[in-house]
Amino acid sequence: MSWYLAIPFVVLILAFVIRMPIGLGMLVGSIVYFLAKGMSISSLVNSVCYGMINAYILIAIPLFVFTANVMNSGQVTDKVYDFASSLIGRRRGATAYVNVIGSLIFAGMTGSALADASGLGVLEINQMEKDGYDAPFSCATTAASSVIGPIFPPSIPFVIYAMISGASVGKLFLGGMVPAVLLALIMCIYIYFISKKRNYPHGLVVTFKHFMLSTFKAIPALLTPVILMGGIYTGIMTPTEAAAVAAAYALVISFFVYRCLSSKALGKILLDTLRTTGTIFLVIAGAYAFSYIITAEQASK
Amino acid sequence: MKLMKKTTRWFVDFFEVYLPIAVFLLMFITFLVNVGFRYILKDPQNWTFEFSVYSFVVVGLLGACTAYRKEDHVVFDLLYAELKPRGQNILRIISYLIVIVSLAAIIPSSVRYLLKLPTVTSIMKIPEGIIFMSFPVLLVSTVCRSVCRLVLDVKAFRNKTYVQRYNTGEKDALI
Repeated sequence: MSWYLAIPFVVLILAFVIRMPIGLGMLVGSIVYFLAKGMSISSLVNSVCYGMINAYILIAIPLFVFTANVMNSGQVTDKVYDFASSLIGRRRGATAYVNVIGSLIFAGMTGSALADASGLGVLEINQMEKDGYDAPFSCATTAASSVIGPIFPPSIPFVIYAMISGASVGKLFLGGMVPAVLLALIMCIYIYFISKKRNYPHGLVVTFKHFMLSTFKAIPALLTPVILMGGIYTGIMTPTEAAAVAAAYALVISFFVYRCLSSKALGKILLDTLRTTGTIFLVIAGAYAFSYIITAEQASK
Repeated sequence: MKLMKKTTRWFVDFFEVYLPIAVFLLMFITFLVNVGFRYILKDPQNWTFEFSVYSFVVVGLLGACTAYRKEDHVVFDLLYAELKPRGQNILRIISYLIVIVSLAAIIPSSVRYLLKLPTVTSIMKIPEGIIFMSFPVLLVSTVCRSVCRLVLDVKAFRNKTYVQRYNTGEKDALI
């Protein structure tokens, strides 16, 4: 291990200070290391490109992001929200409960907190404010409930963890289920007490007919996690293939069942998917370059 | 001048938007074809796996260009946010200078290496050098964009406005 090892870390700290993108900071740090040591850049190119090729499981990430964006683009989030709303009924603080339950359901389709907060979250905050909840509580509930997204399967961070550690994606997904449900339950208990204390409004009365109607309309959306998890746990599909099938299913229900997706919207969805994928993968590319340096320097010894 | 600007825009859009989106769609379709061949036709295909894996490299690296264009990358801005516009302006200039110098330094050698890379993919026999060219494209795109932003930031510093003039949310800027 030589002092050269300090270079990438110093550059990374500098990147934090000067607001350089983290992924670029890692890449720049690695480049400075290679140049300082007089090493061939081919090793850097190889570590980034072959690293991505060997991380087959990571392909699931753009597909999950794509599914989340398709779900967020149209009426799918509305259907999920309506279903959660009819499930909660006329409780005090109903909209806050709906926020948590809606996020739990949506988590089973997307695997991303960002997708939840930016899609369903916007709808939830607006509705909560319209119903008379104060803005800080509405935002806090949405932020807290959207974090269920990466815990309940499918989960993008679990996929990344599985790639790094070699753990089974299926087992990780299964392990996330109970903690996510527990989190939702604890949030609901908190909402129960805070709603009583602050006298938050009751929800609307839900008739059996309305409940059945909203459930029926939400069934195609609710089947997404069933397809995903069912495909993985029955051994029919790998998590990556399941992600692709879920994305195809999301497209089919948005185009043909809910009829809420235009080709123009699809273009925006694809661009958003590309942006999110690029954001994640620049960090991963930088991490591959970093890990090559750590291995080459035998830092683990 | 107008034609040149239009051509540049098309060229940039091709590499940063159209090409990676097309490759992503192909990757997605290939995955579905893979599932169909394996479970419906009971005839697993190897090329589908290879195509998905290599297209993933292109999507990831060119997607990083798109994210940089939109300033979507993860940044740590606790210190930056605390500074006055002048300080922020200086930090942006330093950041772009470092990015430009270090990335530009490896563009020629990485292109030379990839042009000479003899390996091909095992099933479809596509030269890996062509696929991995996405990496120098990422470097070139990041350097060019950083140069444009650096010029604007230096101008802002000289004019004592210190304000970031690109990606201000008014429109989808090329820079």
